[in-house]
Amino acid sequence: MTDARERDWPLVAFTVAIQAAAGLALAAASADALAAPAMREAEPRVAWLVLGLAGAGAGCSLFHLGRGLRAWRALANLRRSPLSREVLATIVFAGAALGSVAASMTGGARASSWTMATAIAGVTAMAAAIPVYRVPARPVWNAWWVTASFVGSVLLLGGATLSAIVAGHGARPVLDLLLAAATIGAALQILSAGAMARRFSREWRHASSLGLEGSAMGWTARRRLWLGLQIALAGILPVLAYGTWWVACGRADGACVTATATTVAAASLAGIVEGRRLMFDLGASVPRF
Amino acid sequence: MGGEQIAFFVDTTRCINCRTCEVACKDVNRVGVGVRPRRVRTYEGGDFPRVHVYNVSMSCNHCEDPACLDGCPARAYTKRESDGVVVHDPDRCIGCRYCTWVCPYGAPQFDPAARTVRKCNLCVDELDQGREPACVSACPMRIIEVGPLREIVERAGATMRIRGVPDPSGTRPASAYRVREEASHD
Amino acid sequence: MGPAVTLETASHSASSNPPAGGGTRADRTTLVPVACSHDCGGRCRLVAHVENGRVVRITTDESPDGPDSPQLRACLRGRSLASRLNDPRRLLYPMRRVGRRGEGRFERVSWDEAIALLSDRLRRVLDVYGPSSVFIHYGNGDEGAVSGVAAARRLMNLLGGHLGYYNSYTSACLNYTAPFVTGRRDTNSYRTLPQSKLIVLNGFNPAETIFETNSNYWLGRAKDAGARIVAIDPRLTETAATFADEWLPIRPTTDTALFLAIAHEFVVGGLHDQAFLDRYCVGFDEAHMPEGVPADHSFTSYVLGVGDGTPKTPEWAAAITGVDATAIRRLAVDFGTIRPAQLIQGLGPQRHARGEQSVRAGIALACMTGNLGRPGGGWGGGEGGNSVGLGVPGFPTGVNPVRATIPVFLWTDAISRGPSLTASDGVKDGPLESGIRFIFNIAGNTLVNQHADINRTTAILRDERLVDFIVVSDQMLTPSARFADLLLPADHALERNDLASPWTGDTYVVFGNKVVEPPGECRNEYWWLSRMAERLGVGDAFTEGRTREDWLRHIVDGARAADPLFPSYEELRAAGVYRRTSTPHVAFEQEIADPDGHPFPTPSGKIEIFSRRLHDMGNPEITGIPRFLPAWEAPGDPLAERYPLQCIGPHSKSRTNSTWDENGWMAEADARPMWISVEDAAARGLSDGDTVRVFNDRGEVLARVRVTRRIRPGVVSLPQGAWYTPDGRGVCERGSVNVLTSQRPTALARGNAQHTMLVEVRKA
Repeated sequence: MTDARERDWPLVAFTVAIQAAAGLALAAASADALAAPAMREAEPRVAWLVLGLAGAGAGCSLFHLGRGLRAWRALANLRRSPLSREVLATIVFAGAALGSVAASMTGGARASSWTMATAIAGVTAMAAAIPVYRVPARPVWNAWWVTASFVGSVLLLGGATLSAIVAGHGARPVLDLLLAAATIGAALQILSAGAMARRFSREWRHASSLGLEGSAMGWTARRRLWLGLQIALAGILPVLAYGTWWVACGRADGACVTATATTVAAASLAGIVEGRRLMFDLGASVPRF
Repeated sequence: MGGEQIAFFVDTTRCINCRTCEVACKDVNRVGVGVRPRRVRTYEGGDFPRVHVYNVSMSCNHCEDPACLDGCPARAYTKRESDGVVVHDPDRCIGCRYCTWVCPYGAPQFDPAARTVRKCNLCVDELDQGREPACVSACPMRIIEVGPLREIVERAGATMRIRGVPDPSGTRPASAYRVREEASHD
Repeated sequence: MGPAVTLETASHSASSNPPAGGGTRADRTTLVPVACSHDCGGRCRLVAHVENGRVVRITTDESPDGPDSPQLRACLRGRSLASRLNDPRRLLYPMRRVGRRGEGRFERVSWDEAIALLSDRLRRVLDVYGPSSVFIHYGNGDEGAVSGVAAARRLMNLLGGHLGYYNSYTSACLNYTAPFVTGRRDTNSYRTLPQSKLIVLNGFNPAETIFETNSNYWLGRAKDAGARIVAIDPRLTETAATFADEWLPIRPTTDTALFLAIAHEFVVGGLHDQAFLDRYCVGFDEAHMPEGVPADHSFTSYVLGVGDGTPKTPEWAAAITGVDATAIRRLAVDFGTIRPAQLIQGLGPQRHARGEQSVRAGIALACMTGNLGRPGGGWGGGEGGNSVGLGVPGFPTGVNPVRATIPVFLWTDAISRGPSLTASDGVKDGPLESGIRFIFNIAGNTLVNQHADINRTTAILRDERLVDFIVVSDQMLTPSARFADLLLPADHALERNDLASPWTGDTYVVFGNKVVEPPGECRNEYWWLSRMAERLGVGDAFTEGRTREDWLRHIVDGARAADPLFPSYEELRAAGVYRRTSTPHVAFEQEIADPDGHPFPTPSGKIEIFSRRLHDMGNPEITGIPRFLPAWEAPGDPLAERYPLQCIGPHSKSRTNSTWDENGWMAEADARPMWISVEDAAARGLSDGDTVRVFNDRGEVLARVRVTRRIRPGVVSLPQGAWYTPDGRGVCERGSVNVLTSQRPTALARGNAQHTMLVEVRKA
């Protein structure tokens, strides 16, 4: 189990990158639907970014494997394994992202369709990951908060990132939509982190009451710090920043908005990475059979 | 299934927690530090000085609905027709460790040296040569046995419901344990 | 029937006629019977699976199993022999110290250089200081029929002798004291356990300290037969947790008080067997005292408080022992009414400051209940019927011309102030002509790790003005090996042929085959001792023309002369074991059945609950009857204000004393944490798994804690055997308990009280 914890980083990178890519694709499709002029300009850059994130995420997942050269076998059990299905959904998503890039480069009329298809594939890939974690044998994970956390990550990372890209262009209705999504995503981060903490405490107390060996590591100071960091960076900070923006009715100038939105997007990413690390750590830390 | 499901029976009431089963199992499976296909978990309860302890030696339970078999994306697991033993094939394993997440009993474990998962296969090679599984022939207390599941579940006190051990309804483990009173569920 | 391996070439081709214990598996693996040779009472059957000259697996006894002849199944240690054998950290070459002693810096030398150096230094020490300055240290890490220690004794006896010792680190108080009471030490065999209706375990934990291969098997049979089992122990040990119906969590060093309260309840309740006491014992009551002893010196008078005004009631004992008075009364009634009942004292309680008293009080209880000498009844200090066995002759070590002996625990004093040690220090046939100047340390870790007060020990060893030369032979670079002037790489039991016998009375002998060649330049001690003997002019006398292998054959010939069924050397080699069916051995059965024909070998011919010999020593700490004497470094000692926790150093399942500490499999199976109670942990802000500092005036160690309800509050247990690993400040990072233990010997036996110490614990 210690080994699993040491090798968590590929999964942290994989899940966060895929969710960021899915969020960005979803945000781009939404902005596209609103026919924002700013969006048209940003489209190729966003398509590249989605592809980059999805590709990097999928690539990182290979580092999780003990036998990366046999990775193709991961598709061998689509009928029953949620993991096989997640892998397939991820491949489809990356393929769609590649299609989006191609379409945006050729500037064809199909670009919007590809954007929409990529968004759908991205959300599907995120959704396909949820059953992988919600397994009875991992009681800390087997709860609604995993769903909330993944959905929240998609909304927050997508909204925050795209808002940072388009903020300077003063596209108010698009920004409103993006920041609303990001705020909901941030709120979900706070809720899911709290639920994860409660869930872990309960499971850990239960294991401790059984006197199981290895039930020592409960809420250590370091883990509290991680949790606090996650909530601060990916929850409180975005909510406060976007709230302030609305209260100020978007009166700030473009450069300032871009800088703020970029900072918040980066902080959110850091917070979500931190939270994901904690999720893997806690999931493996409750002594169990 | 063609043949009859075989199963472990462990009389935990006489387990002295000596861990010889763990070591004998490592020895036959040739795994290094970090992997214990059979493990003993120690539970304690009660209030001083009326403290009770029970030790549960458990390997793979060769479940009738194995979560590992469904979960494995690479189809590295098979449940043998002949005896219901859940066998893991390291040559098919991609080392994704998903089985270590979905097994309620921690039976599959990642072997950092082999970079694949390892798991109890009920010593089928030994069984084929007419010998007992390593843990069975190792136990100094003679409390680990194998036999047809049908007979095993008829043993006095045989249960799969043990306090602190995951509920059997999920995977229907093909094992039975005799446990002391404090370890029984209700 | 040929041997499974060819000695000279160590080829592993299967013999055409595979032996019973071995054979060839379908997969071209050769199976060869081998032996486990570590410092353990059990001797188990092991089979090495050899592939391409490498041991890849160890299995155990697979002969028919049953209560007449239960299989000799190995424990986790025996099953891990291959991982130790193949350990890349094995010492491979002779090495000479460079730098200061104890620094652990060595340079490689050839065997020729090593033997020349060793012989010349020994010669010089013998010339200047005489043979009594040579000490062959306590070392049982690699026990065999021709052990290195025995061979070194043989050599030194030919060269004028050496300083001998008595006692052991295992059972000093027990072995020294029991003869004062019953004339000799004897215990029941484990086979008697199923006949018992009540079994009282006092600090006895065979689940971890095997003691005899099937000790736990027989406890299980006793439980199956319905015996009530009560455990008196500061810890709910693995044994107690599995078998005991009731746990009496006692404060260490207070067992005698508990026994006295039970005796009190026997007397006031009339539960004692007066007829037994009258017939077989002296000193129980005033009517059965030796001539000339003043009144009120009997055991009964003391228990009732006639002399000192303090009746030894359960309430009195509860205040001392921490065990509830009701529980003591309940045990007294059970013990007084359920027959037969056995009281088994482990060796832990006698490794305490007042270890002698608990041994004597335990025997007194067995007598008061009339259990001694009755099947299923009696008393065991340890257990196992030590007086029986197969009677395989030992390797002849000759006669030691040096008469003086020391209690082994005082060897550091014999270095620092040898000639000034007197009879009051336990020196027999003294005084010593010289302090210890030359040490053979073979297959032992007592030089540093297993002796008490490591900081004091290492200071003495580092002083190169005291000991001139230390030669160490071992398989690994142990903490003791670091203090070698010359470090020799020893072979492993699987790299030589050997015979291995159990400590206890079980009637079998195991043959261990050589299955692989020793790695590097590893050599058995007999090899280099023979060459030393040659160089020192006693070569022929030492070897009598025999190789080590020849001596094994000689020993087997001796066994065959005494037992016509004993197999030939070749037969034994192939079978791996010779076993005769054991019958239950009841200690002192003869003396009880026929007291006139077989008096107890004491001055009175009876069991001496009152010992005139001890009384006449006139030492207030050595009493005529067993008394409760408060221990040093125990509750009540003013030191407890600074160091409020009693610390004990029990054996763990994953080490054989200090052997296996280095082994990864063992650490995985049992990480040997320090146990601390929930209360004591909470008072110090400790959680399970925390690293703590454990310290007293003698030193400090780091340990990982297990917070548990299985140990009495006020007590911590730090399993002994961890390899002393000092950091830059001298703090042992591996938690070696002997940094904290004291060299103060017990009063009578001058034994090691290594479970008696006070410590404090703080979060690291």
